[in-house]
Parts: sequence; C-alpha cells; structure tokens
Amino acid sequence: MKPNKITALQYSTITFFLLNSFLMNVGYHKITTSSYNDSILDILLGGITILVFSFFIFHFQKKQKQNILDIIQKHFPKIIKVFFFIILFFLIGFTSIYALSILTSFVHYYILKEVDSIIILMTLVATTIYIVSKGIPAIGKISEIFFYIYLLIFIISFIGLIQYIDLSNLKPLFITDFKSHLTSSEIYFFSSITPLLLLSIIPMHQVEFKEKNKKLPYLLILLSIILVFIQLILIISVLGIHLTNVYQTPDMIIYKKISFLNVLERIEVVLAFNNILNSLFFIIMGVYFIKTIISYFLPKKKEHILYTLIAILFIILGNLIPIDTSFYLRINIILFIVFFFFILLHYLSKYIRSLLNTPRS
Amino acid sequence: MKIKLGILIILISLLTGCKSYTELNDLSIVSAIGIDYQEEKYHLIVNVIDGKLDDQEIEKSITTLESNKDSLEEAFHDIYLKSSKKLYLSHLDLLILTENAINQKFSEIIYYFLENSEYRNNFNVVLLTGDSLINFMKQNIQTEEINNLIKTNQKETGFCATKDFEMILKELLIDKNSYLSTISNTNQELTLEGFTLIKDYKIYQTLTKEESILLNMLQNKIQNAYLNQNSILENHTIITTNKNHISFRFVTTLSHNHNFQKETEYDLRQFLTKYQKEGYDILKLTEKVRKNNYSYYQQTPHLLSQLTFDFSFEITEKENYLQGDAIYETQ
Repeated sequence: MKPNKITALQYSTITFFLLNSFLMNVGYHKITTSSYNDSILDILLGGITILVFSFFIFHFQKKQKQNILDIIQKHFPKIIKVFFFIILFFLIGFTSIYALSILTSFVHYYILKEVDSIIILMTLVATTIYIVSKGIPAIGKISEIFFYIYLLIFIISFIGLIQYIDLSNLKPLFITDFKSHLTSSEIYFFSSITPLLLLSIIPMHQVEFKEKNKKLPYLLILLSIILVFIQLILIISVLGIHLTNVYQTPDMIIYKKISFLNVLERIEVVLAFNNILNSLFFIIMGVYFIKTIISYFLPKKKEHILYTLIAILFIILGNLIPIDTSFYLRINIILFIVFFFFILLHYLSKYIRSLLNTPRS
Repeated sequence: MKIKLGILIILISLLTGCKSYTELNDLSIVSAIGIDYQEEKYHLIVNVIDGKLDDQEIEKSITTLESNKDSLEEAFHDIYLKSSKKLYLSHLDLLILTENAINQKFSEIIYYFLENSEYRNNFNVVLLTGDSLINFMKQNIQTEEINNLIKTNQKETGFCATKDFEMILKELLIDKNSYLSTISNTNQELTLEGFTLIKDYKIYQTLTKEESILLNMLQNKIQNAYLNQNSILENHTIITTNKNHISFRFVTTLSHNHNFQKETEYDLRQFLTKYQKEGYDILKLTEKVRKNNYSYYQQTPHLLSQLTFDFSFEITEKENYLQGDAIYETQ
C-alpha cells in the first residue's frame, strides 16, 4: 500500500462503522416504540433503501475523485461555496457534538459511573483529535483493526444469548399500519445514510480500489444491516416487545444476561465496547470533516491551533447541547437534503457549462 | 517535544481508570433489600455483606441498615449516609416487599428499580407475611437461604417458583397483573406460603398450596409435586391456542395413578374458570392469543370470558420393578 492511501477494506470498514452509528445516536427504542415487532421488517425495508442510496453516493464519489469540499471550491462561485461550507460546518458540527454527548452519557451511565462526565468527555475528545490529526490512513487502519474486534464481540454476545431466545416473542407480525412502517424505516434510513455522507470527505484518489474489491463497501453495508437485523431479533426475542420498549438501550440489558458456564459473568462492559466503536468513528469522521472545512481558511502551519480550538469547542458544547433525538433526526434529514441539493446543483452546473461550450451549428 | 510532553502529562491525568476508583475492601455488597410502607413513609431495610480479613480467612458478616423516609430515593440516600462503605447494588439477590408496600406503592417501587442501571434484573422478588419487616431482616437470614428454599420447593413440592424482577416486569407490562412467591416468618420460622396474586399493582388474592401447584403445572414449572393423592415425578405442559380455544397437553410421569387425570382435569378447569369469571387472566392467555392470532384478538372484545379450555393427558406410570415380571428371567 502506498503511503497516505487506504485500502478498499479500510474504506469499507469506516463505512460499516458510520452506518452502525445509528445504534448509538438513535437506537432501537425509537423504532420499536413506533412499529413494535414489525420493526424487524422495517430494518430490512430501511436497509434496502440504504443500499440503493449508497450506490448513488459511491457512484458520485468514484466519478469525482476529489473530496466534496474540493468540488465545491473548484466548481462553484464564492457565495455558494461559503453557503455550503457554513451549512455543512454547522450541521456536521451539531451531529458530531450530539454523538459525543450521547457517547459520554452512555459511558457514564453504564461503564464508568464513578467518573465525572466531563473527564469522560475530555478523554473522548482527546482520543478523537489525536486520531484525526494522524489523517485518513490512521483512521482507516484503526477501523480495520476494530472491525475484527467488533465481529468477535458480536459473535460472543450472540452465542451467550442463544439460551434466552424465545421466538414466540417475535409474534405477532404485520400489526402496525403503513404510516408506522414508514416512520420507523425512515428513522433507520436517515440516521444511517447521513453518517455515510461523511465519507465524501475522503477523496477517492486516496483509496486503493482494485477490480476485485469494487463490491466491498456494499458487502460491508449489507453486513451492517444484517447485524442490526440480528441484534434486533435477539433483543425482542429475549426481552419481549413490551420490555424492549421500556428501555432506552435494550441491547445493554440483554448483554447483562450473558454468562458462560456461570464462570464468565458480568461481561456487559466488555460487550458495550461495540456500542462505543459505533459512535466513535462517527465522531472521528465528523471532526475530520469540520477540521477540513476550517483548514480551507487557515494556513497549514497553524494546524495545532485548529485542533486545540476544535477540542475546546467540543468540550464546551458537548456539555451544553441537549440530547434530543428528534432534533438530531431532523438535522439528519436537512443534511441529507443539502447533500443531494449539492449533487443536483453540481450536475446542473456541469450540464449548463457543457451546453454553453457546445458550438452552435 | 515540550508540547508533546505537556499533552502527555495532561492525558495521564485524564486516565479515567485512575480517578474515582473504589477499593474492593471499601465496598459493601447489598444482598437483600426490604421495603415496607407505613404511615405514608417508606421503611427501607438493606442487608449488606461485609468481608473482613481475619487470620488470612475472609469472614462474612451481615449488617442491617435502616431508613424511614417519604420517598424511596430519600430513603436510599439516607442509607448511603449511614454506610461507611460504598453500597454495591449489582449483586442484589432478593427484594422483600410487605403487603402494605405492594398495596400502596408497588408501581413506584418497580419504577425505581427499573430506572436504576446499577441493579441487574435477575434478583428475586418475594412477599413477606406474618412478621414485621424489621424483625425479619434483623434475623440476618442469608439471602441464599431464602432463594434456595424457594428453588428447592419448586423442585420438590411444586407449590413455589422463583420469580425474578424481569419476569415480574414482563407480566406487569402486559396487563398490570402478576404473582409473587410468598414467605412467612412466624415464631422465627421461615416457611413458604405459595403464591400471592397481584392485580392492578395491588394484592388480589392468595393461592392455596394446591392452587399454587396447579398454576405451576399449567406454566410448565413443575418437577416433583404431590397432587390429588398422586405423586408427580415429571411433568411437561404444552399450551396451544386456536382462536379462543386453549388446549393444554400434559405429559406426566406418576409413581401411581390414582384417578389422576379425572381429578386433575376437574381441578384445573375449576381453577381456570374461577379466575376467568373474575376477569383475571392468571396465565396471560389473552396475550398468547394475541401472539398467535392477532386478527382474532382484535375482533374479539372481552376475549378472556370467551376462552374455552381443553385438557389432554399422556400419563406414564413409573414401573414398579418389585411387582412386575420383568426382573424374573424366563427360559
């Protein structure tokens, strides 16, 4: 592998974690309270839509070769450029800080009860900033390593939960109306596809795609959807839908049950590492995006000032921004619209330019 | 280099594992919690296990902490103030509730334990009758002893069953009804009293020992039991639903069959129709119909009253080798 480049697998594992960030940022609670047992089907419905849209995202990226900010910089007039930069800065900044505060409260509530939230927040910010400062190649390598750990933890939790599965809890199916199906699959779709848009900050010339690796990102997206699907089946079949709806993070409740031969018990904190990973990569990519936006306006030598500024901003706002999932979902929808408006505008401007350049007969 | 060193020093100070840690010796493990509600005040009693190192051997001692407050949170805070060590709630094994606590504050108590992530949902919940909570808790009966008593009786007599917090919560979330194992402490003697039914978060009825065995039998929780002059050695119950028709199939091994089928079928029918008439879904059968036939469930108002029961038995009598011919070889 050439320096400053990432492999297709590393790129795909980042995709995998970004897609999984839905589990921490929104969680199963929103979906199951909307469509009960049918949420299992809604995950599949939302998953198919994600696969279709991810095809458009990757197609656009492969065609452009540059990152999204370079495209804006190159092809748009200054007013539109500033408009996009400001909008992206605020929207991605908000979603990243939201994810950070969710992750902090998760760690504080389930793992480090005795430790002050601010200490957890500062540690997470420091970790994120350090990884971001190392650039895309380091992010790629870390995500690949953690991908294998993630799979291992998932398999362990699956094996540990098999004995508690009661498939009758999955019944009845097809009980909610079309609107509920639409709501929950929409929640899954928007809270998963928007983090995927953060990939547009990685210029495609930095990714080593070989012919045989072309389908790898799609495979890992499919894997992420399947794992979410399996985990939801596990949660509902173990807890039942009524109890699932009571808890904000039902996945942690089922982890608490896992015990191997009555010897290896109370391992939920280890298993919760997967939840942390899901959120952490979203925050890392969000911070990387923001850092890249600001670096367009700052000289390169002042990067350490930039990182310090971002760290202070995240630590202060991470404590102030209220955790409101509905608002986060709305921001996701706006972000999705902004991205597709940009793509539309980009193709439109290209089309107009080609028309202007065509000699008249 | 200096900047990097500075960052490193800051990071070291942030290492979360090194801050706010609690030594194992500074922990008090909460093994049992008792809750009573008298004169509009919660009476909270917590039994904690303290381990002391004595002559290189760990000696366990139970300490009882007590508090009387308006709310459960206040009472717990008061308990914390009285404890020199940090209370470790994750190992809670038993929650003992009195009749007053259930009748007046059951939903609040359940909600408190549901909201606190420190507890695991696998602690057993029992109802205490026949003695004041403080007398009972101060006897320092080991939690394991009570839990084992229930567990052994489920296995050997069949009129009791362990019910953990999660199971109770699941039942309450369906229709606000559940049932608890009941313990009684009279003359400092701990005995089991079968089950107490809960309806709308209040005590509804107490089951007799025979009724408790029937309930366990219907729920496939029996291993050994004595019912209608028959000794049950093994039982497996299968419940199937077809619209409002509920079929129970019992695969039972008996030591001797003394008219078991006829008498048990009569008892089971009486038992189920009694609660059906009272509008109390003791087996959560409407939930079973909801799961298996949702459209029928939706179309049928007052489903519980329309349920019909059918019982079938597959009885095997355990062979008495001394009376049979099998052991004598024939040429």
